[in-house]
Amino acid sequence: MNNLVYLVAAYAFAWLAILAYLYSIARRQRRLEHELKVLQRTLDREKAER
Amino acid sequence: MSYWRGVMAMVAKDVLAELRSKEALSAMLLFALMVAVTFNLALELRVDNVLQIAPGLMWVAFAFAGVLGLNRSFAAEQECACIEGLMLTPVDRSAVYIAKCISNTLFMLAAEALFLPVFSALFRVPVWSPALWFIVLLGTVGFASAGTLFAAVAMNSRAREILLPLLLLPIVVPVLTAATRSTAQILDGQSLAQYAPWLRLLLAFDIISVVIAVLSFEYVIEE
Amino acid sequence: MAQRHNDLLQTLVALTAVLVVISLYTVFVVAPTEQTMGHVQRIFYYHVASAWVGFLAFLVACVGGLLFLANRSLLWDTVSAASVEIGLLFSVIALVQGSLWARPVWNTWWTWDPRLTTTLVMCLYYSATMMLRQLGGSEERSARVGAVLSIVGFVNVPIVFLAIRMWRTIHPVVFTTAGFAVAPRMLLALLASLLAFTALYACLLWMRIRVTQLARDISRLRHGLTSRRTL
Repeated sequence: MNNLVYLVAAYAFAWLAILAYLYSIARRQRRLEHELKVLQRTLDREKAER
Repeated sequence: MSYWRGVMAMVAKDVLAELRSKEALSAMLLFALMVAVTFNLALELRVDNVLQIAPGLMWVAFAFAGVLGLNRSFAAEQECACIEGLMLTPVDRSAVYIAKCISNTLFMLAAEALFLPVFSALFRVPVWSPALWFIVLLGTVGFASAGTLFAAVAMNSRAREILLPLLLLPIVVPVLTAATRSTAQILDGQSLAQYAPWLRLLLAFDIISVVIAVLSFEYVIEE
Repeated sequence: MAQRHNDLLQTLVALTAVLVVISLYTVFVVAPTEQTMGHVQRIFYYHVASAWVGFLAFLVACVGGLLFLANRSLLWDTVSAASVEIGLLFSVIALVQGSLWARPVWNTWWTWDPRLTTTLVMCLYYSATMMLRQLGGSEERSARVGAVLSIVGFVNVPIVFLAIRMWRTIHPVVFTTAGFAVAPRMLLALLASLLAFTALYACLLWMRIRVTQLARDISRLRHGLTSRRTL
């Protein structure tokens, strides 16, 4: 039954799309957390200087 | 200034501006005709299938021409920075919407009125029918009421020409469906009882659309 | 506080993973093979679940929009925008899966059937909404316009549903007023898939909201930093 190709493709597509989306969220999250850390350090330094 | 005087003043302004330049009307009419001719070439209309294609073709022409007119309606205001002037008018924000909606409807109706005789001649369909005119009126009101809201939404963005149809057409699917179906039935000579459901749908859509647009307009237009 | 949020999210993710595994089991092992279509029919479970999540997401976006306009808290705008994004993702997944099912069963990748057409049109609408948010001017205006578009846009969902009543459709109809036209074990697989996907939606929504809120916090901090420096 070569129709199985379509079944596999359908499920593969769904999971790939969802995982790709998850990955893009995770990547953005990591980048932002890093940025936040840098910003926090700058703020703490400024506070110490005052 | 009372509410309706304000509305009528704004409508009068739009109509006068249009009467002087006639740019919207001619653009819409020409575009509608172009659509009709292009579809005719692409779809190989024959005498036997005219009645099947004509209603859809007519409403597609109206829809595309309508989008053209709607785009223009706020674009013209932006070019002369008249939006701020409209906002400063001592009337409720919803009056601005109602006025724009009325003028957009009027311009669309004018273009459609000029289009129909030509359409009738080119495709040999009978358009001298008050029932048909009523459907055209209802469909146009539905289209213009939702369209005016979305034109205001898209007005400030760079991609306004593509955003307006992308936002508007999904929402007016009920209008286009009901309008084409009832138009087909009327051209076919069917009775009121048969196309009444579509009529009711159009009426309901028009009312709901105007109410929702009036409520949402102030959120869309404030700066 | 943030730690409690993180723990809750981790629990949700774990729960989702479990539900997904269960759903896969029911779909591939428990559910019987359909007579005429064979195994390809199993696409149905994830296809319906994806479509369902799309509708749910657009409903949440609509409600988020209403709440934002009511109390102007940007959190609701974040919820609404994130939900539109995820709803679009799952609606597209549903369309693609439907197309992959249609090829062997209807012998065509696509047909201008009302159900399919209205779904495609709905996707175009929400894509336009996302496009507009990115092009839109000030944060507050983007939020307001996004809210109105999410609220009005929700009318797409009943249009897709009622497509089968307004036009004739060849799309299989499973939920009728007479009841469910599915065998009990298939119903089980369907429910498992719906549950798993709803949990998945919740996870993705939470994570997406977290990212936006983080970005907003950062830009606020930056703003505070630069304004202090100029003093």
